[in-house]
Amino acid sequence: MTVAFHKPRDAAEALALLSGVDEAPGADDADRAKGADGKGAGGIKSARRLPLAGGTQLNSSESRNLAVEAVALDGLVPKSVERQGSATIIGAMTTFQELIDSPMVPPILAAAARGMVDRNIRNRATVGGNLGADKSCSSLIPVLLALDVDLLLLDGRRVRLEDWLELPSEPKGRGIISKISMGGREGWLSGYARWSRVSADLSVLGAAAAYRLERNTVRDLRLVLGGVAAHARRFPALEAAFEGLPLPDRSAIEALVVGHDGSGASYFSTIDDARGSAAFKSFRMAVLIADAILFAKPDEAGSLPTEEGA
Amino acid sequence: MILSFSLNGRPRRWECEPGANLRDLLRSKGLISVRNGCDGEGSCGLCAVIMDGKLVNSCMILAAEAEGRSVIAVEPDAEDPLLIIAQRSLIDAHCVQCGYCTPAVSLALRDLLARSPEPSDEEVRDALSGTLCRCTGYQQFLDAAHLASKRLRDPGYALEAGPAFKPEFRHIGKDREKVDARGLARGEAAFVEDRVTPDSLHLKVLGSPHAHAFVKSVDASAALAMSGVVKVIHTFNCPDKVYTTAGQGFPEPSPHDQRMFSRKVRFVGDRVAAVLAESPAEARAALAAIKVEYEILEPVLSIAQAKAPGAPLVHSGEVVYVAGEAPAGTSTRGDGRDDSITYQFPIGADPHRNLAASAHGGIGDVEAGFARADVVIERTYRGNRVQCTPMEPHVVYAKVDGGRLVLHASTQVSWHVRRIVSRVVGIPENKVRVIKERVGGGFGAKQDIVVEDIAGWLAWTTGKPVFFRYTREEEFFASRTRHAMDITVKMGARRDGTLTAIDMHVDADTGPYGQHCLTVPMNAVSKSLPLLICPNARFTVDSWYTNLSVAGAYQGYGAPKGSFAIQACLAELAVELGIDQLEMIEKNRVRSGTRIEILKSLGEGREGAAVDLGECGLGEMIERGKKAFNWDGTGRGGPLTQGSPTAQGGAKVVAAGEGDWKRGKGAVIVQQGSGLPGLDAANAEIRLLADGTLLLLSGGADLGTGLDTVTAKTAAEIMGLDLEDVTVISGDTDLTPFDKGAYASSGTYFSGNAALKAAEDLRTKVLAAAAEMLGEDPSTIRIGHRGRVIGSKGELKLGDIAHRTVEGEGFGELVGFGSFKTLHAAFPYGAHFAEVLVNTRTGEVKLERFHVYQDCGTPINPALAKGQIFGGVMKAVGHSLYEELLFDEKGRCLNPTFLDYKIPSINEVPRDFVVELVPVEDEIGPFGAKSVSEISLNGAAPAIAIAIHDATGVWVREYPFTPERLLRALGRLPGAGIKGKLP
Ligand SMILES: Cc1cc2nc3c(=O)[nH]c(=O)nc-3n(C[C@@H](O)[C@@H](O)[C@H](O)COP(=O)(O)OP(=O)(O)OC[C@H]3O[C@@H](n4cnc5c(N)ncnc54)[C@H](O)[C@@H]3O)c2cc1C
Ligand code: FES
Ligand code: FES
Repeated sequence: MTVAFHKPRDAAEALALLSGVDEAPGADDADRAKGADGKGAGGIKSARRLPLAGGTQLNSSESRNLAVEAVALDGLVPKSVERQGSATIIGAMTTFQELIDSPMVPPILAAAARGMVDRNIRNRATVGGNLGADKSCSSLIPVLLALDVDLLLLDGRRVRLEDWLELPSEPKGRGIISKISMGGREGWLSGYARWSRVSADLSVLGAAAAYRLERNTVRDLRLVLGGVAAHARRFPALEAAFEGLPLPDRSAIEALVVGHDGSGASYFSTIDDARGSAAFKSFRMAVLIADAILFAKPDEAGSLPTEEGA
Repeated sequence: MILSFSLNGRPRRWECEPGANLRDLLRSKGLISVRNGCDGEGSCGLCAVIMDGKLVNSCMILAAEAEGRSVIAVEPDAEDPLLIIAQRSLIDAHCVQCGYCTPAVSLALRDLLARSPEPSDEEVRDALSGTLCRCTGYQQFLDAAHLASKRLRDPGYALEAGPAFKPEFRHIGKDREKVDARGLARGEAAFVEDRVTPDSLHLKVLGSPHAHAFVKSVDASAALAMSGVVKVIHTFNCPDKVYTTAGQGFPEPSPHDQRMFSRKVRFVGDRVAAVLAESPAEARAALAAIKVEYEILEPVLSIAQAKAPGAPLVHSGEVVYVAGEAPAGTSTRGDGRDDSITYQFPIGADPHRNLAASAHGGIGDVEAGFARADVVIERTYRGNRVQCTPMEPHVVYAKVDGGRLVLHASTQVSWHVRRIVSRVVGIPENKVRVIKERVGGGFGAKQDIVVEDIAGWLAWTTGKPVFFRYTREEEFFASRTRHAMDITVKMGARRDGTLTAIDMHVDADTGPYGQHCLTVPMNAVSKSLPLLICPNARFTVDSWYTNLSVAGAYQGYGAPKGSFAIQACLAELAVELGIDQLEMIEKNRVRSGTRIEILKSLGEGREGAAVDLGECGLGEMIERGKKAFNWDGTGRGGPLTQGSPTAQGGAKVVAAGEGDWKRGKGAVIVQQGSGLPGLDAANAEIRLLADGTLLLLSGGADLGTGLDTVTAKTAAEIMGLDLEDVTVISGDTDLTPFDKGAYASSGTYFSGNAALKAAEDLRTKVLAAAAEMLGEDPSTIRIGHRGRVIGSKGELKLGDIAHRTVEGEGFGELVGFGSFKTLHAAFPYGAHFAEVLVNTRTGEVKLERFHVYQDCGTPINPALAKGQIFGGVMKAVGHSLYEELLFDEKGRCLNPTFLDYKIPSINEVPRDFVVELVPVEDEIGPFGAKSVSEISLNGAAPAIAIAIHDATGVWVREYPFTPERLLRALGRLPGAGIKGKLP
């Protein structure tokens, strides 16, 4: 629940607001909600100040029990896709729909964005918000983490996404993402696969893989899995299990992930919930991993969508 | 804060709270078309607006974020040309059903047209990917989008007329605009929530955290002391009456086993207390301050647990019979603590064994039949709990007006609401008025009195207006679900496929209360067994109390589950015998002239009798499906495609995925009834107004089904008028005559027939008046088009006659009255064909094709009838493939949101989705019509199960057929699934 709304005029004001410096211009006259008692925002002291992008998480019923002072990023954080040399630079306020519409977005990322099937949400949900929400079912984190992208923060820092996700989740620690920088990497292959129950659904399970093939041997596999832990993350032990193997076929990959008898190796542990039993999720994840690896194609920093990528 | 923005091209400066979302602000300023279907979860899209050219959910946008922006929303006087084209196309393509989603759909189409004036089907699906509609099945939205696109180029473009029936009539059998479509599309006030005045109090309910517990004490003192709180009610201060919430004819075949707040809570979410307060926030805050002491009991969480000897008793109170005796050997003595149960008459119950109801019956000698069989199989089929999910949740607005209680209700059963609420409140029925507003989807859930009892009592006792609307979450766990059922079928047949015996046992889970506990599971039998001719057939039905969520009515009652069991078992038997499944159907199905003996024992509340079937169109329907599906060709079964479509962004790598996708086909025959012969009744009245137009007062409840259009057409047809000349008022207990309500597929058949009789009565009176005026015999006078009354000596207009009669001349005001009741049973039949792709590696099932060949008698409005069928099928597809309420080991519902209870969106609609009407007229139905809607839910589960078997060779006997269940059936996933009620 949002109890106050800040519309900072510039990056400095936004950063000041989020670092908790209240004397920043505009902070005092932030628009604050009256509490249910009509006597001013009840509990405002305990409200968290958070950047507000598309609001599909922050303004949704999911955040109902979270008292939030929203700091609007609209107009401060770029909403653009551009090429800089071999790199693609994506503004953090770029929406999922804009990712899909831009011919400059690498096909694998556009495909991941298309996984968010609900157009109404795609029109609002942003890349920055997707990383900020850091959900296990994120559509973008698996791909961006597998591709090892860098983040450019509003305070000028440049951080690998992988490192950024390890920072404390408070805005003070993570700052505000301004841009995402994706480099085209010579000789790398990458692939992504997801499973959802119906089309307009979260990525209940998602897997992204990036690796090099040296004489048909797997090298430097980065494997990111969503839906089998609290957040979408790499699974280094599983990655290591592929290192130096000749590219396995799919049953070999599935067997490596969950064991031939489906008993499940200990690379990840899933839970029973309304989205499926742990056994099913492990099994299904093994299939997704095989697909992500075997359907991988050369990294492209961005190009007009190809038939397969479109 | 002050917000400046542009709304529909007009500048606005509105004051708002910074935390307010745009949806609430717009609604508070009167933009009621911006609806709420998911409480801000973001998954329904019904709150959509177009902001700066993008379709967005306004519930997820702070009002403050709209500063300086341009917003387009649906308002009755909106002038946006693209929006108007979109709205008109939706109306003309007949896809405004309940209309709760229509403004959002209009905006989505408007957004699409602005981006892509000539959209492909894929673009239409993408445009509507975020908008849920539970009524239409989405198919006709595609027509509407393409129609709108053509009108962009040619504003006068008219939709190609669909098939027409009954050439002798002007309106009947032809497509006409649904009478309420325009208002609904334009976002005019129509629903209960649109009637609420700012001085209304808000009601919120405290749900039980326990599945089974005695309420030992309730301390509401802190809550009562809180700001804005007007009243708190709970088990210790509510009316001490037991009743049923089932909206059925009185005396109901459902036990009266529920108090407004029971002494013992019986499911997680059961009512413990309610707060009436000045604002929703204050009511919610007060709920949190109520202290309740429970004595926690062991819950009963499955049919197996309910049946087990020594199981905890869901109801332990005294059992009372109003008429008849308790069945022999059952216990009636209560424990002195729990609420009592009153049965109006015996229904085979033994609550102290958790048995809410039971029945049995049959014909012939079943054991001898099995002895004569060459092959006998016995299989158990399971269908889980599914939720109706009307996009408008349960809602009521109750107030006291002129010393009477007035309920603005979203209900299927106005008169049952009046009866039950009057008894609960303790006032006579003449002191209660129920006004059925437009209903934003009912599907059976609104056949129950879910919210009206508390709101009515509180409005009456406080004298204040009370607004009570379920949250989406409450709608999931405390509304009404279709009973979960385990159905065991034993079937025997001769080598040539002729059935020799069928034995069917139904175990149903009625949950904590017994609404529809007999009628729903009985429909599993009564709509499935009579499809097959078998001289020896037997059934038993047991309905069990459990501590899971409340079961009740859902479109089709138990028929879809019975149909799944019987049709799937027949197909399994065909496979055992090596016979094609359609040949097996052909060998055993009912046909013209069949004497249906089993109906002797399926009387549905009255003495049963065998029925001699008149004409039956199943043969033609099956033939049409066989042709479309190339049934006799080589098309069935086998591997299909390579690779996995789940991979995204992949190159043309042929992974080791060859042949993962297998194709299969399945077909079933289905049937339903048309209301309850001998039980249901409907009445209508038609007044001829002074200018020759008509006011039709129909008791029938239009839930978006188009019933008001059916009755209007009926009146217009008989009186030679057009639909604009007829205004329908329906479902208002003060203004309109009695009607049993909209359930059991009775609308067109009963309420339509009442309207027809009223129109005929009015015609007779008009002719008599005209005869007097023209000085000739009525037999020489007829009513022609446009209200011309043509005699041999002259001609009058209806208005001439009306003007004279309302002024008191001659007969006085001319009013036609019609009342309809019948013993005749009218069965609609259908043949449903499905084609699926099954991925044997991942367990996914894709429904590629679904064809429905359906007899609804004369289709009064063919496109609306087809819309009912598309909608019904898509619900059944959801139930078959995705939908299931899940509970944990404490009985807590695990998926009470659209995020985790997945209903189909437009993308789940099969790419080849066809409905063809194959009418076989009924001699009693209005103009030969039968019912249309419920039957469409009976085919998907068995047709898809049979198609899955055709593709993979495995039978999946429990639905929904999730990937997990498929993988287990295929032997690809080890283990037997996890404990509890999880998949
Ligand atoms: C119906 C529905 C369907 C969905 N489907 C999907 C799906 O298919 N795939 C998927 O991945 N997600 C899905 N989501 C989740 C969706 O909310 C997020 O993925 C979305 O990307 C969040 O973006 P946003 O711009 O709306 O973020 P917001 O709600 O504005 O913010 C989300 C979080 O990120 C923080 N944040 C925002 N911007 C920044 C920034 N620039 N720097 C640092 N922190 C920031 C915010 O403070 C907040 O904590 C769905 C949500 C809904 C409601
Ligand atoms: S109410 Fe906004 S998306 Fe459902
Ligand atoms: S018409 Fe779409 S929800 Fe009823």
